[in-house]
Amino acid sequence: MKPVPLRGWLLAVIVLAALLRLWATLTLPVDFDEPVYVGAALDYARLIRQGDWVGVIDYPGNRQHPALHKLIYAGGALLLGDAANQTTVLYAARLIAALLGTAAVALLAYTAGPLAAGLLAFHTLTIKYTAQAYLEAWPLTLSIAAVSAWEYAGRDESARQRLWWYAGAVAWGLATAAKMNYALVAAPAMVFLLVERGQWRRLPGLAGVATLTFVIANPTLWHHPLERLAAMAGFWMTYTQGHEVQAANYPWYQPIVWLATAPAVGWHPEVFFGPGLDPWLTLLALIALPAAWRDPQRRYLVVWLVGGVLLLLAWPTKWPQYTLTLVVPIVRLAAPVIMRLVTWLHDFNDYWGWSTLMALRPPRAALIMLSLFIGFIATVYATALVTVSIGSIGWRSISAGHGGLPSGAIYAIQPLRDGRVALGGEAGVTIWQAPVVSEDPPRWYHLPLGHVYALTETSAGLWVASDRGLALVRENNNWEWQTPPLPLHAEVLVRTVAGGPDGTIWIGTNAGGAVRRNDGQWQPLPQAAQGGMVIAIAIDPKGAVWFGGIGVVSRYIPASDTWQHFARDDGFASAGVAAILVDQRGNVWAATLGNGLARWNGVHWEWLTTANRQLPAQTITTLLEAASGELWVGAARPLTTGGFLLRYDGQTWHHYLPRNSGFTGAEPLALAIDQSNVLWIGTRADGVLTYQLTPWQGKTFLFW
Amino acid sequence: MIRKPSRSVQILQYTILILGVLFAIYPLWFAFLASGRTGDRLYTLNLLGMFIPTEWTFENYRAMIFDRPLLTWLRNSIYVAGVTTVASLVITTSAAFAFSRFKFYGREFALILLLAIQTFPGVLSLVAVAQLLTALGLYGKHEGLILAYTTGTLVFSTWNMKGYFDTIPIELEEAAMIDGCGPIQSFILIALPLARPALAVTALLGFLAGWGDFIFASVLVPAPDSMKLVVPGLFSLANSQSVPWGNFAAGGLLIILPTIIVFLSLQRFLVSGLTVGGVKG
Repeated sequence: MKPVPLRGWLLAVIVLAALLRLWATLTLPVDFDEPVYVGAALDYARLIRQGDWVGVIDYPGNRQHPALHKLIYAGGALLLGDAANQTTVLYAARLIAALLGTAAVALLAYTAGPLAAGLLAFHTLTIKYTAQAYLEAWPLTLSIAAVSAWEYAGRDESARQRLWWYAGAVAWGLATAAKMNYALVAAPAMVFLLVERGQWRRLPGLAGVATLTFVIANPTLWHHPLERLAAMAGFWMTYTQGHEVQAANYPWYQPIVWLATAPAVGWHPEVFFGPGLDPWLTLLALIALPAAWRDPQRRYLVVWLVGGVLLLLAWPTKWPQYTLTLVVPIVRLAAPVIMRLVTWLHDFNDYWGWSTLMALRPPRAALIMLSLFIGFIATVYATALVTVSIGSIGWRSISAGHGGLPSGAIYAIQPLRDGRVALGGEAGVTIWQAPVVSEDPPRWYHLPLGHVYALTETSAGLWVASDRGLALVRENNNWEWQTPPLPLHAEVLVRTVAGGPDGTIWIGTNAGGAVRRNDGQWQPLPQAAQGGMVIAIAIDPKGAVWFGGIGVVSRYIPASDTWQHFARDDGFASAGVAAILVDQRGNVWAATLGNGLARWNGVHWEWLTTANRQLPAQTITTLLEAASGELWVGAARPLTTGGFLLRYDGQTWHHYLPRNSGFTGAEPLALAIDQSNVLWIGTRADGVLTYQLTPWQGKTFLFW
Repeated sequence: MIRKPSRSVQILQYTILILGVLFAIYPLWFAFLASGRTGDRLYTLNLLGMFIPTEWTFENYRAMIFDRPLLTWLRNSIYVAGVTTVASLVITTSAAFAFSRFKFYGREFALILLLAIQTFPGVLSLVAVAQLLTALGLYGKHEGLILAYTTGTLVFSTWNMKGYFDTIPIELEEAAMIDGCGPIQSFILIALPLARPALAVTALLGFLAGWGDFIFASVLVPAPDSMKLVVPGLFSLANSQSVPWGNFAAGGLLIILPTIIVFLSLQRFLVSGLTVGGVKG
């Protein structure tokens, strides 16, 4: 058999590395620091787009890390243009990281051979952190470049030698500007190479070039460099004693644990199959240390690994990604051991012929069947995983107790005009406010207003319908009770509220409705829902007011003071009407808790049920119309927990399921789209889900 | 002289054979059709659909591979069946070689004792095995199951291997010993390569013991889902309210494939491995 040429191996390793990183890019969940770096990239992109270069230099966020890597991610955000948001930039940054991580493998393949590069390609911790929007991929590549350039400079006797020394210094400086720990860990090996090759006199000059490169590539240092460097050092000194480091409570030897295990496999078994090579590579590298020390050409690898381990052991912060600084010496030390083992096995077999005698040699049919079996499972699994991963882009979950949400039950959502979002649940109203600087967490305000059923906003403020009555919340989050003194009911219970275009406020109670005129006077409407509980109110542009009750929908025309009721004969039977929506086309939609979805076409009600349309359930809990005219529908599963989310584009019902999106299958109770084009989904017990709609989704009106 | 059967006899023969083949294959084909049907239906009202795929979806395969822990169950079964296979091979070949080649006190008694154990129905030992494994701290663990399966395959495999070793001329090993081989080397380098057919049978039996069993696997490793083997795992998909027939069918078809692959790989050794070892034992 003709041996595979070296170029073929190199190409295979690079392609494999790219595929593995692409897979991880799509399938890994959002990690701790990713939102921070993505936020910084978005801010940088905004400043660059505005031409505010001083703003870029003086950008205050995440200054503890040099700016270079985040500026590269900002390039991705600039390329995305108007489509740039936290989600799209996250995946753009991940793709950039994966590309740079593959470049690290390619560079190692070129400088140390395909075997070492193949080991780097398969190293699970490296795959993880070079496929997520972290600051690892580019300094990893540059640290390989820096060390390889100096290694090459030491071998090369030609006049170009000096160029390689300086090229290495530039790469070292750039690595520092991307993330400083790579350059620090490689420093002992770099200095060792210099001294061992008898070039120690070059050290000051090369260090100067590296420092200059670092400053040039890190715009943060263009103003007040010493002051900012001191602040950076101060941050790291403080950080080592900070809450996060203390909470993690890693022992001093934790870097060895990271290297001696394959933590990424344990964290993400759905992404990494099999046990992971990481601990075996570390073991092989340890075995290789004595032989490598005896070889003058490879001694610097021992210095790199041992020096790096000592540095990481001494440094109080023990995050797993820090050990990536040691992966290159590990794979370079392990590769010759593997090669020697393969050669020994080959020679042993040549002598005894054991494999020839005992080899199973299955027939071609068995091999074909095995390939088809594995291929089928891999294809189905990969297709399902990629479908879920792509579908999950833009989805986030905010559960109770996380981020300030006091309860998992969210019955109402109201985006406010100032960009905030009000969430009503069984523990009152929670107001979410986006952070001013991207890396800050959002702010949450909690208003204890009882069990909240509905929210609406008018020029007066936010109206809250709750079991304690009707409250009006002003902009400064102060509230006052505005419950009308209605004789209609014994207990205070306002089930729903809606604001009319003329400033009127319509409410639904457990015994009819009421309206507050502009003069502040309340007028009871006992005819609403035929005097029963009013659960939903909608006001159409022509001025008619629709009330949804138990088994009835009432239409009230204030101008003529006329009522029309739709009940059993129209298909409403005894099911409650959970939501009413008047869409931009003039259709009135009524969501019933058991009978399906009804549409009033001006003449009669058309029913959409599980039998005649693509609805998965008859219990419709909430409705929303996007600016595009698309209809979003929430439904509950019958006889069990959980629910469905659907989108109707006029022709097709699109089902959002856990298998094709980030929708968790929780029961939706409230839907809203905020000013950032984010769909908010309030659920019965699982808090809030958010889905960043694409710019072309939800804004362009669809004619149907 | 071979008399050629008449045309009518031939037609009758082929009809019976075709019917027999259809009878054997239709359950598999039925499962295949059910695996591609939507809505967890075992049957369809479409008569044609009972014989050919009139509708098809990979949803059941997707659900089994992605939503259900089928891959975990497959991994567990491969581990248990694989280790059982290796353990059976190591123990039975060395035991059979000793019975075949060495004369020692109690040899005849041990061989007869093995046969006596073989007559005891394995399932009756289940409670005792469970108690033993509990005492050893291996109840609910794959290693306990491996121990139970390995001991279960020992008797037949040892007898079969011994029978096969008996057919290999001892002069071959003696010649190797003259050339400097010790007993272990002559066993590994001379006897084992010659006993490949019997090894294949032992391997197949060991694999089947670990792969297709339901009773031992469901009793000795009852929970959790992540520990189950593939057959009890599939069974656990059903509950008192519903049976996901489509998932069942897709999972069933997927789990028979490894057995077919192992069988195909060992096929050329099987006939001689069973007949030579078994008949002359």
